[in-house]
Amino acid sequence: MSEAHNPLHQFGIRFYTEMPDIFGLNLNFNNSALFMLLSALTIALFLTLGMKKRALVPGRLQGMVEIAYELVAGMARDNVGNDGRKYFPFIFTVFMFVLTCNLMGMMPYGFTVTSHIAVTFAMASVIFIGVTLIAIVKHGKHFFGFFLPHGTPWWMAPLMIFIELFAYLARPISLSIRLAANMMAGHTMLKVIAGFIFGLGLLLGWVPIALLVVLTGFEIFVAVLQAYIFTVLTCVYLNDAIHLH
Amino acid sequence: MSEKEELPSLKELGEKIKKAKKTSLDSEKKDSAPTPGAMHVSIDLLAGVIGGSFVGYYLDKWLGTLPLFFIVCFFLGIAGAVRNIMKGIKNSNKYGDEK
Repeated sequence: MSEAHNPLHQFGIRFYTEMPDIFGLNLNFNNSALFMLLSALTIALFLTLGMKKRALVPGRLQGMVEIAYELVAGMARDNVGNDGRKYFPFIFTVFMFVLTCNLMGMMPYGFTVTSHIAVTFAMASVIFIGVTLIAIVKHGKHFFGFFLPHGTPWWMAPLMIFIELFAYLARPISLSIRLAANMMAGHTMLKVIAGFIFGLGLLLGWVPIALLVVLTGFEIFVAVLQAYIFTVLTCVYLNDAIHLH
Repeated sequence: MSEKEELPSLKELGEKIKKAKKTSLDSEKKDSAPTPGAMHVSIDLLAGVIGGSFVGYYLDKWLGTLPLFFIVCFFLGIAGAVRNIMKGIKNSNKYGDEK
């Protein structure tokens, strides 16, 4: 099997520059960084161009911007409540970045940044550390009461503290694996089914094409859904940090 | 003449609006965590096991007691994962009942 037909080839990192390592770190510009940059530029263009007119009756582009805003605002209000308004800019940034990166991957010749666990785990750990710091600043010593559920018998307390601690530590891991696994699985499946088209030839090749059309639509749905789930879980963790039970 | 009479009532109205806004915003918060499906639950379980194993392995590497903490933290990780799944299902049950 040649390299281009390998369904995992699309996730490969390719470097565009050849710099020597700086402090033992490879800081070369690669396709992942390129698509992150493209996503950030797309978001900036989308939001600034969309809100340029500030029309009372929104046009198409402004309508899309407003829908995105309303969706995230509703999510933050439902899951965090009134105290979550301070963190709205961060939540909105996370949602737009994950959504745009996911959708960039659906473009032909696109690269899915969020299919790499290195990227999603970096985002999840920033969220995890930030949420923990917010909880410690807001509640001080009471934060550590979070690891002991109400109504635990005293003889179970030492065990429960460790179980809750590990449940807490598993959060960023499950957050990052969920996004990366969903994006990677979908894109690998698309490539495998696209490979069937050439394998089956003219006679039967149209069957996988029909399937591919359906799956491409489904992948776009998954891209939006996973961005939504990532953001909702961020809101849920933030709510736990602010309200502690 | 009439402006002077209107001013205090406007202030009162503004305060009333503020109060109403605050109460409506506070009461609107509801738990609407996503309903955990099969994928959600399985990834929770996976994350617990991976997290526990990592913590245990590196504790052992640091302290030089290789099998001990790896095994203990592996099982604690599973217990933590089950705890996360329980919380998720409880949340979705609560949300489903309200519906």
